[in-house]
Amino acid sequence: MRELENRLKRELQQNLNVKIMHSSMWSIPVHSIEAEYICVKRTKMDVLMKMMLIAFQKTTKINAEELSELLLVEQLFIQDLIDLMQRTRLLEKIEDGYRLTDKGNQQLANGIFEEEQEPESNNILYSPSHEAFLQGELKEATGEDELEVYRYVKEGYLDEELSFEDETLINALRINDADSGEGDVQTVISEIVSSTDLYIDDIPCIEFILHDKKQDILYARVWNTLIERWDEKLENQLNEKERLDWRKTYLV
Amino acid sequence: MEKELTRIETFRCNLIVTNNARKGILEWSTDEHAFFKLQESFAIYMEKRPVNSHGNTSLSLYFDNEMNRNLSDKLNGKVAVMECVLQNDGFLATGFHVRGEKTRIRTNRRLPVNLKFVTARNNGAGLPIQLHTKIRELPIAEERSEYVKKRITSWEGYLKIQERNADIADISTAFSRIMLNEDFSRMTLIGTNLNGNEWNKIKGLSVALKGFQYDIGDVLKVDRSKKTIEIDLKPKIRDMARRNQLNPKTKEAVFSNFATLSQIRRLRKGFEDLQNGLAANANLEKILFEDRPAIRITNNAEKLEFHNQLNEFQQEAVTGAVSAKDLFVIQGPPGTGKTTVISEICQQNAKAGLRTLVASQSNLAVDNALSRLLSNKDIRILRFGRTESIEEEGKKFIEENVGQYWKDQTLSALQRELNSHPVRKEQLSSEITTLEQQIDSLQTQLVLLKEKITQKETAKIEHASIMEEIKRLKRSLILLKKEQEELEKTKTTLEKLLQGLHMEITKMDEFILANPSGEQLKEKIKLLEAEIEIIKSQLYYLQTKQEVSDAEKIVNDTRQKFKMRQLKIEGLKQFLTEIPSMRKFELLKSSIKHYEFTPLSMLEKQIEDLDKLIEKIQSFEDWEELNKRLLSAISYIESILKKNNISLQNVGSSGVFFDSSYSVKEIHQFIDIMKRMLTSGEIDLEKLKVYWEGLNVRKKFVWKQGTILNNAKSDSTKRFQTIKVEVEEQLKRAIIQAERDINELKNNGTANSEKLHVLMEKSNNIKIKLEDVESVQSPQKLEEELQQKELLYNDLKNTEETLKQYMNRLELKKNEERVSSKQLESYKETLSEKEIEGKRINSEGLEQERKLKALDELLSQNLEEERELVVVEIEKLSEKKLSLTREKERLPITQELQNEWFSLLSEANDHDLDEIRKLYVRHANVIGTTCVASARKEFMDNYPVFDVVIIDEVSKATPPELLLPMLKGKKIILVGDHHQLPPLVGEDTLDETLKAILEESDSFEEKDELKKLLKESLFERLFKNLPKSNKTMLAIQYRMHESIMETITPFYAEENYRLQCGLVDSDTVRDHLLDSHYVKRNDHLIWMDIPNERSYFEEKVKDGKSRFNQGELNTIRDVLMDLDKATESAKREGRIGLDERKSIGVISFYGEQVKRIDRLIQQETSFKHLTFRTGTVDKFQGMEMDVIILSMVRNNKDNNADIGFANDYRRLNVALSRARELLVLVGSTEMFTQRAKRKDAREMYSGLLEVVKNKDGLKDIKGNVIGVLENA
Repeated sequence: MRELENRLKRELQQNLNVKIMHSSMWSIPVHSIEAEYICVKRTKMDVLMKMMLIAFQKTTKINAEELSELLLVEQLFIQDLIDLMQRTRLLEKIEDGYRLTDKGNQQLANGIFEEEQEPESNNILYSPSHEAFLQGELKEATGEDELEVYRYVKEGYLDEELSFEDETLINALRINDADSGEGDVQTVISEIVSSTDLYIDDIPCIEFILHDKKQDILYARVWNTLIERWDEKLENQLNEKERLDWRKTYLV
Repeated sequence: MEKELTRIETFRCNLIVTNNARKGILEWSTDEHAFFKLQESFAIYMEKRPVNSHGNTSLSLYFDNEMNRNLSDKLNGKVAVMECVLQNDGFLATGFHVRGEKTRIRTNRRLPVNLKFVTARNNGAGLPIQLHTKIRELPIAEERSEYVKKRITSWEGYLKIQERNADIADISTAFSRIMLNEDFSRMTLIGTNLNGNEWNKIKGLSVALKGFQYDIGDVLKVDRSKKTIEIDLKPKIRDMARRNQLNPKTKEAVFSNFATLSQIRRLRKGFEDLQNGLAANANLEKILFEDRPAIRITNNAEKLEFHNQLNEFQQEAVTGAVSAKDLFVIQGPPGTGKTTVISEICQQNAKAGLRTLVASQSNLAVDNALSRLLSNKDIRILRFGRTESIEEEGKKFIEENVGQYWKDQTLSALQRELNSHPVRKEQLSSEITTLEQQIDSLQTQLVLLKEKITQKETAKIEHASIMEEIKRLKRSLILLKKEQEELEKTKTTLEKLLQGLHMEITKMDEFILANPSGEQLKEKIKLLEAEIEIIKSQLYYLQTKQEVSDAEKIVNDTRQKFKMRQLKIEGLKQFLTEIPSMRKFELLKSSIKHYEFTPLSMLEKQIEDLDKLIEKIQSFEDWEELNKRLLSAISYIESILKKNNISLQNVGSSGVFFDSSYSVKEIHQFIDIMKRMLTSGEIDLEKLKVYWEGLNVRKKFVWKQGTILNNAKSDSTKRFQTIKVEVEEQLKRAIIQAERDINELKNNGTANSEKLHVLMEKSNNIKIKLEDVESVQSPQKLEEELQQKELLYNDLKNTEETLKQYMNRLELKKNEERVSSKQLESYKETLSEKEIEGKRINSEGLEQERKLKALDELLSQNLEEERELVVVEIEKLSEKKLSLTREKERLPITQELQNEWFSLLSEANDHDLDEIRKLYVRHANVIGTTCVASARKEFMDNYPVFDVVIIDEVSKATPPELLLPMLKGKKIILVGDHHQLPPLVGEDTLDETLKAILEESDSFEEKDELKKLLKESLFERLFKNLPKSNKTMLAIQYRMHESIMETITPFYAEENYRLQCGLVDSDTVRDHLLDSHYVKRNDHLIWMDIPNERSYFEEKVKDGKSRFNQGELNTIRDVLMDLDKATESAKREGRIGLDERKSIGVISFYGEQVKRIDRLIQQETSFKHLTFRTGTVDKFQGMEMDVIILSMVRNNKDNNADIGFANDYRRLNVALSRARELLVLVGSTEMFTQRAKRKDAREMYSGLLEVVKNKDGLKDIKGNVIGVLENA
């Protein structure tokens, strides 16, 4: 950890105008959330086309205009796809509307074929200080001294009960590559079964207060070891809350 | 394109192929006949070339490689070009070759036609006259291109400016290390080793680092002395820096002007495309370059339904833009809702199925315009450009995101629909019921209408009959009127007659009264008659007396004459007796005289002739004498000649003078001359001979005369005898005549004596009768008297006659008068009867007309149409009902489908949306991009042409930049404001850059060119020169509080409309809710007057041109802190929400000042209730904020105090027009209104100060109002 701190210091000091006024190390709490979800495997198929096939299967008495109104989709799109499907012989025109051909029925059957997978689970990391899921690998604790907790962490964060929208979780999982596709088949998360707040990790962060002599400006740099980058969000929080004090502390 | 082609005409024409052309064709076909039979006809673009050396029209025929399928297959997609000469009876192909498949075929200079070539010999196909005409009208492509080229060179200057440093090879440098700034937005290269010149060149160039795939950013600033280069990093690189991954292994940077060059290349290509006639609107070149933009005018403005709430000017702008054909220009001062107008136009276009390009000079403006478009499924927005340069507002419209955008839109619409599901059935049922009710009521209406229509039919008949009746009444009325008139006339005549009669009678009465009675008159007449008798007698007497004396005189005369006659006869008789004895003619003549005998004219002539003859005879003696002398002379000469022995044989034969005539005198003179010669003693014989001859000639003449005279002598005797006989004859006749006269006189005398006698007797008788003859007056007097008497007599006689007549006529007339009066009375009676009759008819007519009007009303109702409408409406409603019923029937399915659709769509991932994305892109109808990006190749390939191109912030783009999107539009709409800033080059405006170049430039030519650019703003010129129908100014602004707006109204004073404030109540809707020391609640416009003192003076940064002002910074800090507090208290007092922050823009004319403001805000202060946006005025164009603080910087005591950037009224306009609620100017009033070098600038700022003062907004740096105290 010290090594990292020194490396960062060196890099910061490349800028000759900058003087490191202060550096410190602390941690932010990060929740590991276990999300259990179910995936389905299904054929890759255009969603609107699929919907239209379904519609024409259910009712043959509908024209492009009505379908456009029903699905709230531009008639141009509907018409284009109808033309396409007629050309590829998935659809044929009948009196009041359209009818699926055998080929069309087959295609639709393939399209809606979904193979539900066994439930899976995955851990995702949530930082209350960021109010967001973070992307990164938890590392083994280096076994250094217990770090102080980030001074602006949410009060009572230890007791807080977290709950998330399914959508948020799916998005976070998706970023973690839970979705995948191969050839004509894709696997998508269809349902969140449960989410469990497993434990909280303390993620070390290294803070530097810098003074740009040339511009006479003070600013913070915070290295977040989880995401392995200078953490803009935390920097901004510090800048906003402490900048005036820094001037008093370090410059006067 | 396909639509256009259907309009292209097909012509059949003769084609003759030369050997040269055949050679080209044979490379692709067995012969030309087969070749041109490849297709029924060929789609061809025909270009007119300059006339060839023989004066023939040359043409190049380009065979379209898309439309001509068969040909294209044959040529592997390449383009055939056939060179032709136009002949009267067809084309003569002189060359044929094939070019690459990318060869440009369609241009504005070429004529699209379908041609059927006939290649058979003597085909007689010829060339249709219409085609001839079209070819004649076609411009010569090269000439047109030349024209455009010439005009467009005037724009070269713009490119030159951009090219200034662009034309350089890549520059590279090593560096020792890099340095990142606080927020990783900039990187500085340290320890670089550029050469002297290179330092100047690299500014603005893009930077690449060895080992990095992409450019990392652009050069922002260089510091030559410190050998540092500051680079503005791209977002991607910023992110890398944050991850601490920006550690180049090789320390080498490469600077390239690739971006600039490619931009200039695109701009140049724009020039070329215009030259080559590739503009979507063929009219574009004329619009751009002709003094009066040549646009097609539209007269009928379309009536539109608007989707946005628009004011009158905005409506006018939208209507104008939609109706215009080529070009429409909108001038939009700050805050006047340009974006709304653009959005509305896009919407209208989308509705009309048109595709719109929204372009602007900056990405910001494009995104701004797109983000304001209503979300509507008919509008499919696509943002084109480099993702990293697109603002957040525009990001959702980039190609990779439109799928998602579409999904969000559709899902939210679906959600609304799903929410209504539970009630939908009820809704439908109730709608259907309503419809049924409506249909029922309409049916009832229909029945009613039917009834009414029947009534109407009846009414029609009645109407006709009433019309007939009215006609009849009118006719009888006319008749009546005529009768009345007739009667009236007769009445008048009668009255006149009566009057006349009356007068006559009166006259007669008067006459009778005035004159004596008949008896008296008769007596008078008798008396007068007697008097007349006497006078007549007297006159008669006098007359007779005269006659007597006349007769006596005649008798005496006759006696006298008789006596004379007798004497004459006696004389004549005497003469007669004497004649026979008369021997001398003279005697006879004297006797004639003596006896007063007048011979008749013949005789007189004879006497005269004889007189002349006698005179002639008397000259005989002279001639005889002459003869003697001649003879003696001749003999004398002859004697002389004889003496000299000269024979006369040869003489005298000449006879030359034979016919000559001479007078006596002449011959004497001749002899005298000869005598003189002879007597002179010298005798010339030869002459003598001549004389002799002469003498002989004369002798002959004399002899001839002698013969004539002798004849005359005997003649005269004869004539004398004849005369004598004639005289005797005539005398005898005269005597007989005279005797006859005497007898007559004798008879007359006797008759006259008798007459005299009778007269004497008569006279005596009268004398006796008259008794007194002595008193008789002269005849004249008598005559006069007689005349008088007779006149009087006649008068009396007339009077008597008249009296007699009058007596008779008076009774008659009186009778007549009586009859006429009676008649008149009857007429009057008839007349009044007729009048009553007229009145009756009139009222009857009125009655009928009243009835008619009622009927008219009924008839005028267009019941049939109404019924038709109702029927249609019923049909419509029934249809709707049917469809609703169907919907209701389908409702379970619909809802099921919609639910399914919702879940399907919600789960859809990028792949699922791929097809949607493609559809969306294909059908995108509003596409946004920057001007320059619109010329990028991939964009050109996807979107070659737009129905409408809208360009926003036109004034900020240079003409070459504008040209790029303009080229693509069939119709172009320009939106801008030439009173705001012109194009920027770096930090300077175009004008400022140009001026700088001008100062540097040595070439006059270049200077001239650049100066021209300074003068012309394309937008301004177009706006000024276009007809009213093609431009409009948005004159109502909604951004600024009225007081703030007043600061910029002077800039628009010259426009047609005054800038107005559209805010209904500025104070309420633009209440900044703050109340503090510096800013009172009702303040909206403040000028913090900075003292013109040293401690407040401007300063210049050491290593640059830019300036700052510490004094102003201090004041700004005070104001901001005050505002922060004010916001806090406003929150406390509940005026502002607790979570809200007041948004404040701090702007300045100078970049350095902005930098320092940033530092001030970030480093030196902490504001809990404010949020900031800072920037130069130039960068702020297009933005708006609730509160704006403007730091004016310039403040000094220099003699020629320049205010630099602040001189430009356009920059000031932008600076003043950013604030919605509160504008705070921070600057020295003395500096700007008094010390500024330029007069126009001083006036401009003085005007501004006036406005501020009027609002009590002038304050000192402590916040105390200046002026109010003074006034007090």
